[in-house]
Amino acid sequence: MIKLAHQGWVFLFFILSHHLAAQKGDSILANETTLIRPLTVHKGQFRVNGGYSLLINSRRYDLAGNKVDLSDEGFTNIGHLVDLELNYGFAEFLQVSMDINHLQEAQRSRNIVIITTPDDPIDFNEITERKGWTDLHVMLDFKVPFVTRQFDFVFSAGRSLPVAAHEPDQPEHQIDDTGPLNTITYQFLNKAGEGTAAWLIGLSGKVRTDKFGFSFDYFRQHFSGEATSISWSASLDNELISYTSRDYDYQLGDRSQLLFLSEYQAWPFLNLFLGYQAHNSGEGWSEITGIRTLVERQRRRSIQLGAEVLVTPRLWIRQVASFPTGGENSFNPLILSTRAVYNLFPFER
Amino acid sequence: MKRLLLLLFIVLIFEPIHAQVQEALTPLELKQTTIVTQPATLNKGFLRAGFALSFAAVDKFFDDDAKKRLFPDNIWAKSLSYQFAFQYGVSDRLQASLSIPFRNEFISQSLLLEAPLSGTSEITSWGIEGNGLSDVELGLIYQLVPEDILRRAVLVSAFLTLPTGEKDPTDIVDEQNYTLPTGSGEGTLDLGVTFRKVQYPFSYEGAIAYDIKFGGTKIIDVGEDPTDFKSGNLLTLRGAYNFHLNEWLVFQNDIFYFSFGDDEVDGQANDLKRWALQYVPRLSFQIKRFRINQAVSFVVKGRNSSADPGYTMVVQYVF
Repeated sequence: MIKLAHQGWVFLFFILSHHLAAQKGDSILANETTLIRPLTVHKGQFRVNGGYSLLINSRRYDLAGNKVDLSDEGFTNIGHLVDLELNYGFAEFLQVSMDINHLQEAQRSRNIVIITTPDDPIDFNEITERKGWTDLHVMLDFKVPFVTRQFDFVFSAGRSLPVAAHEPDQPEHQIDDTGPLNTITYQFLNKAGEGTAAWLIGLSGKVRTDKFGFSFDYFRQHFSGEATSISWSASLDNELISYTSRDYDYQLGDRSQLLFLSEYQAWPFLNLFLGYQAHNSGEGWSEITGIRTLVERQRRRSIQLGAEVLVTPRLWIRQVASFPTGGENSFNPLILSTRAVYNLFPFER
Repeated sequence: MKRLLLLLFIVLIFEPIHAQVQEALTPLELKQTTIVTQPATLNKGFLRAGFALSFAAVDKFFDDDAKKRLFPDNIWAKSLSYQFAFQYGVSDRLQASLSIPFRNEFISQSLLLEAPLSGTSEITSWGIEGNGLSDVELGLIYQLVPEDILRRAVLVSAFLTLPTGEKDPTDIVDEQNYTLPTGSGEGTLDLGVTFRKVQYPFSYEGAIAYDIKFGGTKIIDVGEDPTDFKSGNLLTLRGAYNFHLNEWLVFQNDIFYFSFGDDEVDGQANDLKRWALQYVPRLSFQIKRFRINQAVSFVVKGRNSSADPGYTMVVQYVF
């Protein structure tokens, strides 16, 4: 296995080394600023797009859309998102895309201290960790075949494949009676997979002038059907915690995402942009409590501010800060993300 | 005599080449060099002024078994540090520096207190903050082996941190209502040796440093008397590999190994045997004499140490 992995690295290194040499495609990329770059890659072009985002959850929005400062509730937390997207151009107007993310975040709850006798208080903590790969999205993007630098339109369709683990691992609750308080920490270990496939559709467009560009990007995810997961319960016997699991069904609501972006090409190598993003999740249901209960819809709104730097024709770096502006029944993090994008024409001679 | 002739021969061979290298860059060009191409220390009379912003939150830690764990309490803590830094070329081989840091510390917690026997239930939320000057640092870096034509140099450095920041909690009303300190309360002397090699478009660095902590007296627990303390001395090993992505953008890769000595409070050592291995990727944008550095630090592994990433942005200008 190690030998195979080693051979894989050697092969990857060989391929990348081979493509570090100048290619014909470089002349295409050299003439494309961020502003005039088409919404899909060129025929034969392969793009690797990887990034890291720091998520700082310092506020949430309640069902009525009121902002709640999480530092008042003690729920503030941070998360880490690593994402990878690959694009390949089968034709000048047809692109295949795949993307997958790795998420890691931990949500704490308010401490509960129960005083039954003055000498024996009990402190309850609860941590819900969510960690792992998300499902794989595979999409085909069709660009409307107008050869123009003024506008672009792209239709996308695809499938979310439930390749990622979605059933939570056995919890790791802990009891600590060595301190002044008897502390019980409930630690739940959730995964980032959805457990069900989904249809994906998208529509995006861009209009450009010499220095400015205006674009939109709409994406919708429709979950195909019911899914099954497990929930864990724990019992304490002689200071030993034992766990049992049971199956339950749930249905995820549709999700959509809309981004409006205005951009300014300050210099050929520097593009500045300002955007508005809206995330919506529709109603679903869950039987995790034993009876079917409604999962309320969620809304998130944010403003994006960012810049893209063309490092070389093949490589660019994009940095975005996303500031929460509103929402409903959801956390809405401040997101700081940095991504690197590398392009090559792997089958070009 | 043979030795003298050999020495003369070496001087005659290298001196003209050295002179040509010196003449290759004008002072203006020297001020626009990148983190890779810049001389090992600032040239005589050059001043580099900068502003740095750092953010870190408290979420995870490495425990006694070097396992990464989440802090179980719902306490939220964040630290924002901003500092003004100046570096000056006293000579072509000696650089002096001054850092004036300010810190904003914030901790909050919320808990539900229930007493079933008396039938009472109460939510308590509190937040404490500290804002102000932290510990000022003075430094000297000297090219012990001056940078040669092959762009190799050996540097020695000494940094002295002065306990200028407030070391004690102030404005104490009770344990949940006071102002956090922004200083450590003790001086530190950091002595280091760095090897640097530039092989355009790459540069390599290896460094070893040792921090000697002087200890002091401060209020560690609110409501209690000041206590003698001394932080553990710190050994730092660093390796860096930097390369140009293009003419004005450098990707830096730093790996740090920290080994912390035992902290002492009232003469009692904590015996935690703390260490940490950290990877810090950075992007350094050089736009004329401006430089913008961005870094994210990841703690890869450790023992009894923080496991949280930190973000730093630095803006510099050479006068």
